[in-house]
Amino acid sequence: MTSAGSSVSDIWSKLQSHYWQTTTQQLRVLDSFLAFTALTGVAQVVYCGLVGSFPFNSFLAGIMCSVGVFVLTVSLRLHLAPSGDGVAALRRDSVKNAFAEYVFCNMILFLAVMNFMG
Amino acid sequence: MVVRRAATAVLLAAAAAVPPAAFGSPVRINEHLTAADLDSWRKTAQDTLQAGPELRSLSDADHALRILTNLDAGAEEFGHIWCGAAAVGMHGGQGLSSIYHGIQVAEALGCGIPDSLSTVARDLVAQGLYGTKLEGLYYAALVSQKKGSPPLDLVKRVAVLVESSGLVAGDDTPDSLPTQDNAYPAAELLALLAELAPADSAARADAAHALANIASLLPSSAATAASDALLLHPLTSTPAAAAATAPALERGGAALLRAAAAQLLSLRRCGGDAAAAWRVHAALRALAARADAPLAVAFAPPSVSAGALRSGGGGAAAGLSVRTLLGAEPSDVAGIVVRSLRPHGTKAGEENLLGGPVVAAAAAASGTGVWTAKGLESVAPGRYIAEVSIARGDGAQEETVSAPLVVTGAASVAAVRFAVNGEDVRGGRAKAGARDRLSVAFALEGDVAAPQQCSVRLRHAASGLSTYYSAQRSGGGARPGEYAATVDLSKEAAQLQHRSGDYDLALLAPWAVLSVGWPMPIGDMVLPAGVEVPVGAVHMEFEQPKPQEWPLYVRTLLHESDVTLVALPEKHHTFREPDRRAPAPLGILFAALVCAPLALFVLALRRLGVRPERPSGGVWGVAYQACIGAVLALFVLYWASLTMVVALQALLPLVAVTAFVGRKALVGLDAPRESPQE
Repeated sequence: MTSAGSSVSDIWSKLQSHYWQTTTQQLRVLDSFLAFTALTGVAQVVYCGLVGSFPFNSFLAGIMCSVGVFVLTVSLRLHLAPSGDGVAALRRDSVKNAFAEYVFCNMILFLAVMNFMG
Repeated sequence: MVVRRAATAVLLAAAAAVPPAAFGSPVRINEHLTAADLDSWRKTAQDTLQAGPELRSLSDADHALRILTNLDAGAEEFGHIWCGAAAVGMHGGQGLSSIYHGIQVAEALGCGIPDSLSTVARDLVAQGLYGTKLEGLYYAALVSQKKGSPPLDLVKRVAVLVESSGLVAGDDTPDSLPTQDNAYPAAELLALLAELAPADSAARADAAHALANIASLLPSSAATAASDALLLHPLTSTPAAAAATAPALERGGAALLRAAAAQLLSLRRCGGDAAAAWRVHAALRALAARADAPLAVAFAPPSVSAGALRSGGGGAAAGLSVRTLLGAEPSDVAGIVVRSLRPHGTKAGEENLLGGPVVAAAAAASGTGVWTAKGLESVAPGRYIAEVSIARGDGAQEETVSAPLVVTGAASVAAVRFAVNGEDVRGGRAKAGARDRLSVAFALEGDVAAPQQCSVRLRHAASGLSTYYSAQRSGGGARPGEYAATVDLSKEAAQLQHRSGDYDLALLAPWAVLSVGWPMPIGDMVLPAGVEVPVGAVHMEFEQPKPQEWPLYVRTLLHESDVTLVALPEKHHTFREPDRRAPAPLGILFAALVCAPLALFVLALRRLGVRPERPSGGVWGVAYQACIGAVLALFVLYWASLTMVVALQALLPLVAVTAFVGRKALVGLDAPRESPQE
């Protein structure tokens, strides 16, 4: 048991140190934003579980917003994160495009959420 | 036209060569105008006037007033109803016919008549006078005659129109009134114009010729159209017209007059049509005014019992009523002789039941128009036709007419048998129920012809409800015999309305000798009452049937309530329970909980070293942030109040601006990165 617990703590500490060493500040900001959107979604689900889903369309709109932003941000992070040889040469030209696409998709997502919220 | 005139002349000459008797059997005139007919016409006229202009036309009102004038009945009470309509009609806005009838109505009611026609009316009259339509010529000429004199060249045009349109032959007439009515207004118009034309003028000759052609339409037998007899009035309404049509009437002779009289009498029940009633009355008066007008001869009463004939005292007598067509007593009847009495169905001259001519004597009371004919005591019950000769004036003129006579006989009932379920009833009282059968049998005796059936009557004593059943005759032959009736109470319970109680049973046998198809109008017959023989009494008990509820419709039309008058069960709406909602404080708490991660995100940014001391990207960066804020504000406005269409219309240019500004901002962000590398 102690060896298993120590192995878990060792893995966690190694993950932390590797994360802090290899992750750029830009990606850390994105990861923080991802954590923020996840927490808002969890809070809405807990509220629905406690008091019910009325009004249901608003609940779905809120969940759709959190999940949608989370997915789009993950997609942006995949564009920005270094993924191996040959990709770093493309990052500078595609960053702007990726960010512009991220903003455009978020606009559409928010328009749909506002329409469905009621 | 020349050919048609020649053909007509040939036809008339041929008709003149044939004696009137060859047109068929003489028409019998047994009816005349009665007080009931005059009352009916008076009521028709009053109802027509009372209905007012909304329901009746000026033409109807005009003819109704003419009827009341002929019957010497007052019409002043209708002035307030019709004077306004007459004034409107005279103005001309409703057509030529309304002008004429408006003038007629105003004259009859004493309303004010303008001295001259309005402009509209004058134009209409001018168009009618110089047009080619008979209806226009007719009304225009009549109006002109009221207000002056119509132009005499009308006569030529009317005469040509009458002949060319084939009125004589009864062909379809173009540009004119319907065929059956063409002759009447044409005759009226021609009679008026013939009178106005100077004697020995061409105009009068043309009118006389056309009138003579129309006179050929008068009925020569009862088989021609009934409305042709109405022409007698216009064809004799003026002296000139009467002179023109006299030869045609002479050629037709008594047969024509009798046929016309028969047709007019058949038309006298007009069914509420004031114009038809006036025409019939006018034609009857024109016919009755002639010296050779036929008389209405009938036995009064038309049926007499053989017993009354035999017990008349000093010779049986039958009454003969002789009247003019208008119902008055003729003043020129010198004598009446009953020449023969033959059974119905035989021809004149075949059989005569009288030993010799029977001279009828005038009744003691004058003014009754009834003559008594004695010598009929040996006449047996049956139907007969009497040939009656009437001497008129000084006796030089004599006409023979036929009159039907019915001699009835007495019948007696014998051997009455009353049974319930086959068992004879003793004492005349019985009891029966819904499953029993009543049977009644009897014999009819007497010197009478056998009636086809007699009747059995069951009368509920308490309510008076009577139900009749036929007693059919058994066996054949001309003499009466056995009759029987059976009532199956199980089937007749509904007919008897399931009424329990005492019922009186009686037999009904006809007194008179009649069969189906009697040629005389039933309404004029006066018959003694039939034989009523009480048979007994029956006490019946019926079970009351279950009340049957009849649906309004067999199938529902729209809803279940269509088929029933019973109230349907009340429906109570049940609303669903409202959704569970969180209390307000809990909602606010979770709103804060959702916003809490934002604070954590800000803290995380500070820990990561992100300190936006100055906006990144410079001016373009700031502008980009502002554009993003504007887009989010637009979304909030859309959620709060705007429609999708308006929001999209605002979003599209905003997105374009945001894209431009964003690109500039990103380029600005790249420049500081590139310069340190260089």
